[in-house]
Amino acid sequence: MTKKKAPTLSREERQLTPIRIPMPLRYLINAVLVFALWLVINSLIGNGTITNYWSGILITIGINIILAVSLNVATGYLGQLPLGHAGFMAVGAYTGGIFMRATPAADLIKAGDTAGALPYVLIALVLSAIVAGLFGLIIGIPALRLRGDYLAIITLGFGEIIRVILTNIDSVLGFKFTYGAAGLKRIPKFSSFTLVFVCVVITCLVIHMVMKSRHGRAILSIRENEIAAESSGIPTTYYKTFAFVLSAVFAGIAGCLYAGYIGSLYPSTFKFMKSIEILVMVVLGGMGSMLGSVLSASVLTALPELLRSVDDYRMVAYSLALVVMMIFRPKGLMGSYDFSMSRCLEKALNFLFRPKLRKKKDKSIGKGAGKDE
Amino acid sequence: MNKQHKESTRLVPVPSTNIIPERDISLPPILETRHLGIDFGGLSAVSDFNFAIGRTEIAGLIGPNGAGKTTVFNLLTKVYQPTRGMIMLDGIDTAGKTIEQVSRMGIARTFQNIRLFKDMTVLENVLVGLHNETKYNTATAIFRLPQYWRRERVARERALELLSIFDMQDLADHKAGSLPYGAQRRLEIVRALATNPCLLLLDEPAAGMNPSETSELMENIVRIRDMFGIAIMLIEHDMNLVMGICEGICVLNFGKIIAKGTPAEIQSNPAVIEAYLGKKKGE
Amino acid sequence: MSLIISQLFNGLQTGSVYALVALGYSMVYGIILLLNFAHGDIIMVGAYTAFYAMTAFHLHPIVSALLAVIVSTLLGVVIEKVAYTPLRSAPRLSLLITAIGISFLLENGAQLLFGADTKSMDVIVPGNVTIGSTTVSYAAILTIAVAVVSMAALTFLVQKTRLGKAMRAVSEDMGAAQLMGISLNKTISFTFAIGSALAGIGSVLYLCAYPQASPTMGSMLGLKAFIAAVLGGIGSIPGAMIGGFAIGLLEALVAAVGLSVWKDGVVFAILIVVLLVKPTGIMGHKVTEKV
Repeated sequence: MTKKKAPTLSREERQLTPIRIPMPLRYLINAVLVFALWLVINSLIGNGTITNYWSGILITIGINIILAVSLNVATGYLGQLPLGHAGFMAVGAYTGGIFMRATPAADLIKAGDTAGALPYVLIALVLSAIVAGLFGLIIGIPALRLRGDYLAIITLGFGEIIRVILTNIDSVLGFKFTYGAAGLKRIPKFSSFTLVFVCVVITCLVIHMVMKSRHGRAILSIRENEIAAESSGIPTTYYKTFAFVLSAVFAGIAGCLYAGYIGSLYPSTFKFMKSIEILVMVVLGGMGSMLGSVLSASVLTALPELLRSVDDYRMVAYSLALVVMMIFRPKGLMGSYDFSMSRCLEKALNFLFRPKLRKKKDKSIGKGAGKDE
Repeated sequence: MNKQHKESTRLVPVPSTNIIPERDISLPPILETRHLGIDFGGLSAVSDFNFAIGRTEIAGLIGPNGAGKTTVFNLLTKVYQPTRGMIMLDGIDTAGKTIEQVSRMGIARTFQNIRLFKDMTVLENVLVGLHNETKYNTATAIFRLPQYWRRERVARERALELLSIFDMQDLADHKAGSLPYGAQRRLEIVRALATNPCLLLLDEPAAGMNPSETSELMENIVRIRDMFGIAIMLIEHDMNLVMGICEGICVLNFGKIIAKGTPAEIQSNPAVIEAYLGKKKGE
Repeated sequence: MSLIISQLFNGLQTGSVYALVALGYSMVYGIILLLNFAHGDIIMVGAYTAFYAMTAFHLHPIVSALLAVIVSTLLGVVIEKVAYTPLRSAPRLSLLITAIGISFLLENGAQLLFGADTKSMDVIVPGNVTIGSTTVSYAAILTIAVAVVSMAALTFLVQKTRLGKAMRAVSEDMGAAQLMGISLNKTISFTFAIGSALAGIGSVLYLCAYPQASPTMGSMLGLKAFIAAVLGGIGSIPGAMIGGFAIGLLEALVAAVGLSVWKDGVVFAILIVVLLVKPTGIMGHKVTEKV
């Protein structure tokens, strides 16, 4: 696009027009970068540079990224504080786990036929997403009538109820379903690094695309000022539920991947504590920043592994970090800043090829500063 | 149409002048309220509010502090559900409607204490106002189908066009919260206009503005009316503004209408003077 | 019949503890609109204090109880000063997250200090009294009595004293109260002190009922008490008392019909129903946002 237009502009004019990377090219750049990242890590795993132990940690990081990014939809973008995210994760995990146990996928994976097991895995992921989404809907509709603290508490209540049900449902129904506190064991381990990586990319992509659309703007406007949003014709109840369900759907997917990674599920894994752990990731990264969630989920997952010896202090450090963060930097490390590779490229290109623009910008900044004084 | 009015109001006598707008008398009014009222914990905040606005009228709602002016706006936009009475927007009863539904029916408003989406850009604020005109579903957004690009481009152009009313198109990428006070008020009006209203409610649009800004605002309000062909109702304490551009004025005191008429009628009305200046001693 | 009465006493006994703890939640919420998540963990600290005072230092139970109350009170005030005061003008969400952070800090800190296991001790108040065919433990009677006396004292304090008046004024309108010369910092600290002292009493009474301490004992107890506060209408003192006894009796009832594994689920379900039907609780009143 820019090349076609260029000849019609004079040299002088061209010097003053900032370079803009056209949209399809931006997507292409990002796609290539993501693919390159996968290629690098995957080949490192392939040749053994990244050990089994570390590829396991990479999978955990991926799962936590999905959890943090999805919670960020409800916390950062919608501006609510749900405390039952672990509940949705549990729903997804048990759905995926129970489904996979019932399929012949276990034998296929054992036999090394991952391609044959793939359809089952995909069905499990979709099922987990749907069931968690349904739970999100069932919980969201009543919960979102309340605001602030009350919403936090009611979602906490729902999360705990999900756990109590998972623990006790077998004794009520009279057959083996979740295996209660003893745990749901022998789930085929289907979560490979590539699968988790693809899920992370899909999660970030879908949430990004939704947020940069009229739907996303509607969600943000509710966070900013609910009454003004409603007065501008935004169906706030619909969009609150929408964001809540979106958040639950991806928590479900994360749960399913977790089930396929860890192989056995216990209700006690999905305690209130787990919800807080995810919340810490979101808050530290910066509420409303996807990059923040991704970074803090990665660091907070990897750090305790690097510092194995101080694992006892991990939760203490988490909670201390949370408090200190709120007092000194309540917007999180990244604030609501979101990183865009193509924007950085644009800046670099402008800096290199449009020296005049650089000067102009300096001037305008100088002016702005003068005005403030 | 006039007949209908008489028939429906015959049972309860109403001060008839209150439900005749000051402009576009030949057409049915855009907004009509009958016996509108609300109680807060047994205390009547607004009562027996009968009023009508012509299709392209600029109407003023004035009164001393605490008279219930903003409460009237909140009733019209359903922020509060009325205890009594009815609101007819273009002949349709708005009973049981929500804030959002009333907005889609064509009432847009600004707020006394500015309520912008502060962390969003100026452009995004207007785009939120255009939400219901920018139609595409979630799947279209996720897969970035051609319809998404088309509708987004149209919305963007429309938003910039609306911003240009107040000459704000260059501020499009600034955070709304970083704008100076006057610009924030103007942006709120633009956002309200973006919802494509037939009635625009302005709650103290000139508050905090200096005289030159106010006179510019007066011109703009009239211009908006002429451009969009809509009715505008405004609450304002600046009497120059109210007397300068309003065709009809309604004076509220203690939640009741104490006078209604043209600016000239209001200025000479003893009840209004009393409400604003108080009763003389011994009278 | 005798079973019903002894279950009733059981319910009242746990209900008393819930009510005392719920009062702290309710008072703090009333004054700074904060759900003090850390409140439950103050009980845990109080319980550990009493526990070690009695087992390691062999202090008299009454001295240990006093010590627990003092430590809880100090802890409550310190938390308020260190973590909540800097955030007084911050968004509510930040304050809430801070409270959650403090709660986890206390829990994990305790786990580090005292170990994750449950520490048990001998029964503090042994013995039963038998009236007719009903057997009631001395501990239950003592608990109910102490709770009732504490609540009566609190009601007197809030209704009749200068500080109580200041507390009520601040919870009505913080700005106006400040203009009337009421010291905000002092009043808020005082509220935290009272709330935490009640939690300290609650922790000792809890030890009387279940003579053991663990780092996470506060979270479930705190949550239940919190639910009691919501049920009664958060911000309302009589509401917290009613809510506490109601939750205690409900739990006893659920246990009596043999569904004790569902106890927590039932309590949370009650919370959800209350929030949906009457979000302001039994005694609470609605606060509308000004537009």
